[in-house]
This record gives sequence, C-alpha cells and structure tokens, in this order.
Amino acid sequence: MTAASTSTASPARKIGWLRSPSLVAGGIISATITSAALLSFLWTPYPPLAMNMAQRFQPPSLQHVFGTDQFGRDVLSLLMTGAQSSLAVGVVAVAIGLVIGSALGLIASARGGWIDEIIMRMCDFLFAFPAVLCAVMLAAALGAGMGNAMVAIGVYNIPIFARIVRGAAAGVWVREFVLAARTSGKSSTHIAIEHVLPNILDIIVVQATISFATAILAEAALSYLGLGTQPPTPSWGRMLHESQVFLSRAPYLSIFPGLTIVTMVLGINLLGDGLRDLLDPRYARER
Amino acid sequence: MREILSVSQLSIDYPLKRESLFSPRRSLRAVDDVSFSIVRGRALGLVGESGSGKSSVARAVMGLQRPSSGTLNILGRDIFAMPPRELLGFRAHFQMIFQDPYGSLDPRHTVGRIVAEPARRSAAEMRNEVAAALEAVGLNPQDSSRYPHQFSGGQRQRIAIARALVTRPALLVADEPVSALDVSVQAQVLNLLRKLRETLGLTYLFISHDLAVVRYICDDICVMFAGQIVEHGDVGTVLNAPAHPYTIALRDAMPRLDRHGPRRRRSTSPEEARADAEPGGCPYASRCTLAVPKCIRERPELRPLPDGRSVACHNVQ
Repeated sequence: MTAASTSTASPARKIGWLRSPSLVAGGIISATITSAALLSFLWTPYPPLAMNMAQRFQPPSLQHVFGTDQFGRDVLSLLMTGAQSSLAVGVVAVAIGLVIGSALGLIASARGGWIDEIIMRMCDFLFAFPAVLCAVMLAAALGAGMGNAMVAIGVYNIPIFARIVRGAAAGVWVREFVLAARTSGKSSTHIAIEHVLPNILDIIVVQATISFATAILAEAALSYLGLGTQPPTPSWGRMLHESQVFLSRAPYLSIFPGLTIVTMVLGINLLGDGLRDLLDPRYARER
Repeated sequence: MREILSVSQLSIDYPLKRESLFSPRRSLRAVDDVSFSIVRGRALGLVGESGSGKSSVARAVMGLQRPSSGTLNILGRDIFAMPPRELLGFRAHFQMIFQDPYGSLDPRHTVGRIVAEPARRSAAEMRNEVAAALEAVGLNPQDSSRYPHQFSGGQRQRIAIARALVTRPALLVADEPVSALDVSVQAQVLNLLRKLRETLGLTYLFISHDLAVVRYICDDICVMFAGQIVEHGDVGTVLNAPAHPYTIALRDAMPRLDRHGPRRRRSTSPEEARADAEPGGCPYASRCTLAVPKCIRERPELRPLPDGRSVACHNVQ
C-alpha cells in the first residue's frame, strides 16, 4: 500500500511476458513457421511443384534438406508452400467457430430460458455428426475446395465454442461482481461484454489453440478424401496422407510433414498457455 | 423528501421445483407482508437468522428480485414501476455493499474501473471522483491502477464501499458487510461506515445477524423471523429489553463474557418452523416457550407498544 509498491506494480507487468517461457517458446515456433509460409510466396529452395523424375525419393541431403518425394519435388519447398493453406485453414476455421460459437454461447447463458434451449439443441444437432462426416456433408453441399473446407471445419467448431462458453459463462453470471454490476445500473449486454467475457477469455484462448490443431488435422483428412485442398496445391495434411504408401521405402516423406504439424500444434498450444497467463492479472504479478 | 426508503406489505415468493411432473408448482414465501420505512439520515438494522428473509428484502430493495406483491419506493419512486432504461440511471441513488469482498470485485478490472462502475462512465472520465471516493474510505488514489488481488480483505471491502459511494447515493444497502472479515478488520470497517454516515449524511439499510454490530451502527432495528417482522423499534429499546420471545432468544444467543456454561440450544430451523406452523398461526409458535393455543390458530399483528416499538406477539401487551 506504500507508494513504492504501487510504482513497482506496473513495470513488473510490462516485462512479465518476457518471463513466461511458454509464451516465448510458442511465439518463436509460431513466428518461424508463419514466416516460412510468408517467405514461400516469394522464394522457396526449389520450385515446389517442379517434378524431376531423375531425383525421385532422394533421402535428406545438403541439396534437399528434407529429401524429395515420388515425383522428385523438394519436400522442404512443398512444406513451406503447404503452410500457406494449412495455416489459412486453421486461422479461418477457428475464427468462424470462435466468433459465432462464443457469441451464441454468451447469448444462451445471458438470456436462458427458451433462447438457451434453442441454441443448445441446435448445437446438439451439429454435435450428433462426427467431425469429418459433418465436413463431408457441408463440402458435398458447397462443393470441394479449400474455402469450403475452411467453412466446413469452422461450422463444426461452432458448437464446441458455444458449449464451452455457455458453461463457463454460466459460472460467471452468478458471481457477486455481476450482481454488483447490476446494482451499478449496467445492462445485461454491458455485463456480458465487460465482466463475463474477460473472465472466460482464458478458456476461449485455450480452446482456440486446441481447435487450431484439430483444424489442421481435419483439413488433412478432408484433403485425403478429395474434399479439401485440391492437387497440386500442397498442404501438410495431404503430404502426410500421400506419403503413407511409401512409409517403408521413404519414411522421411511422412516424418517431416508429421514433425511440422506436431511442432506447429505445440507452438500454438504454448502460445495459448502463455496468452492465458498474460491475460490474467493475478498471474501477471508473479511473473 | 424525508422518507428515503419505504417498503409496504412486501411479499416475495420463490418458485420451488415440481415434486412430480403433474403436481402443482409450489412456491416458498421468503418474505411475508413486510412494511417499514427509513427517513433521511437514519440507519435501520435488519436482523434475523439465516433463512429469515432479510437478504431477500435487500435483493428486492436493490431491484434484483421482483416482489410478488407490495410496493417499494426509493426517494418516492416505485422502482418496479419504472421503465427498465430509467431504472438503470436511477440506480445511482441507491447502492449496495456486498458480504464477500472477494466475490464482489471483478478480478479482471482495475480498482479505478471497479469504483467508477456505478457512474456508468469510464474510469478516465471519473478520475477525480474515483480518487475522492478512495480517499474517503482511507485508500490511496494511486491504488486505482492496481488489481483487487493485490489487496487484503479489509482493503477490498473499502474498495467496495468506495464503489458504492462514487455516485453520492442517498441510500446504502449493506448486506452483512463485515461478517466475511477478520474481527480486527471488522472494527475498522464498522468505524468507517459510521464515519461516512456522519460526514455524508447517508441513509443505511443494514443487514446483519450480529446484534452487537447492529447496535453499533443503527438507530432502528427490525427483527425478522420466517419472512415476517416480529419486532421493530429503536435499537436501544429493543435490544436492552426485548419484548418478542424470538428477540429475547436472539439476544440470549449472543456470546457474553459474564456468563458461563452451555446454553440451551434451539432445535428448529426457520424452514422447519415454517413447515410446522399452521397456515394461520404465528410462525414462531412451534419454537416459542410461551406459546398458547391462540398462537397456533391466529397470526399476531404487528402492534405498537407505549414505548414506541411494535411487536407481533399475542403475549405482549
């Protein structure tokens, strides 16, 4: 309560993010892969789609760091270009699910009654279909292609976010500070935005990182079925699936796309963990 | 307007879950025909055990719980007859202090934002008012950039009081404002509440189960049992010489230094007493040592006594 402790409080918070190892690690991993994807628009070690039958199934070497595939294409160049579509699918699908799903969940928890019932039963309806089947139905209705795969995966994410947000928000609506906001003359809309949303943001962020990871994998599954990214445009998921056939002959064809997906998912999860801590003033102090 | 708060024939029912699909929906009467009023500058204590309906009265006064019947006027305006939009702004005139200072402050907001909330303007616009309110409760205006978790329980309750004061309300409703605090801190917060009342001319509706606290803060006292007022009067008159058997039991239940040994334990909770009571009888009859057959048949009215208080008991003349 002294002046000294007051003045140290805010600088400690500003440098806090540097001391969060998961935020730094997640940030570096995500930034590296994102910049590789951006770089691929301008430059890749080899033209990603150029076939070279003389150079088929080259193991990793100095010429081809991650080796070459069955058409003699450079795997590193393919992975860099594939990051474009994989990241785009992840970001767009999560954005659709997060924005629409969170809004629906928040409305359901705020209004209750029959509005809540209708929203949640609609979510149950979407939930009743397995992820891929849901995406297949949507892709069949909308037509194959990367854009529609994004929408399909995004729609699949809506009920996930809606349920999580509704459940977490229900716990916040009964807290005493919400009553205090009511007696302060705040409307339900204001309370939802100013009090409920910030207090469930950590849960939303964590779910977003999980959904991002599953979206990349779902895009892989859809591409495998021919409903996602169309050949020859590379995507991580398609590379992983197409290399299965050559698993014993050229294992590196599966290993490098697999490692890339795992690293990206890990990076996003770490980033989410770090963001969650950063958003919570209670953690910010200790760091 | 001398009367800041007037409550007349207020009843509150809470719906109960159906016992089976086709059984009629039943409800619990938490507050039963309660009337009282507070004039400007006075402090009324509402006491009773848990389940007596005192917090339900507070919720209704704050406009958080719509009563099933009766009227409730604040500064002469019926808050439940007001258009909802208008009520949001009118709330600046009556504010509340909650029991739990850990639950009543949003952990994600800075102290400045919390204190500025009832003004419905941003913390930046309200800087001077927030600083004044923080100073009035004995905190440093610089604390407004900090977060609630950086404060102790007593300091948090001071923040909650600052929030309640920032709009300069006429009426302050305090629901057990010190019962969640350490005893040493309780005294500081009580002194603060007393000082604020003197300097700002506030009117208090003070809810507590602690008679000593009510005696220290309040001018008048309402004793509630099973949703009804059983005794109402000047705090000194009622607590020095309680008339209603329940008030006597409450006073005797207070810990005292000059008495030793175990005391009689009461056996029924208000819920049980309410269930035992005949529909038309006195709710306290099943627990009362002085009960006569008339108590079970007929509900006693709240009648004034010569010394100025009112008591609802057939045996008190």
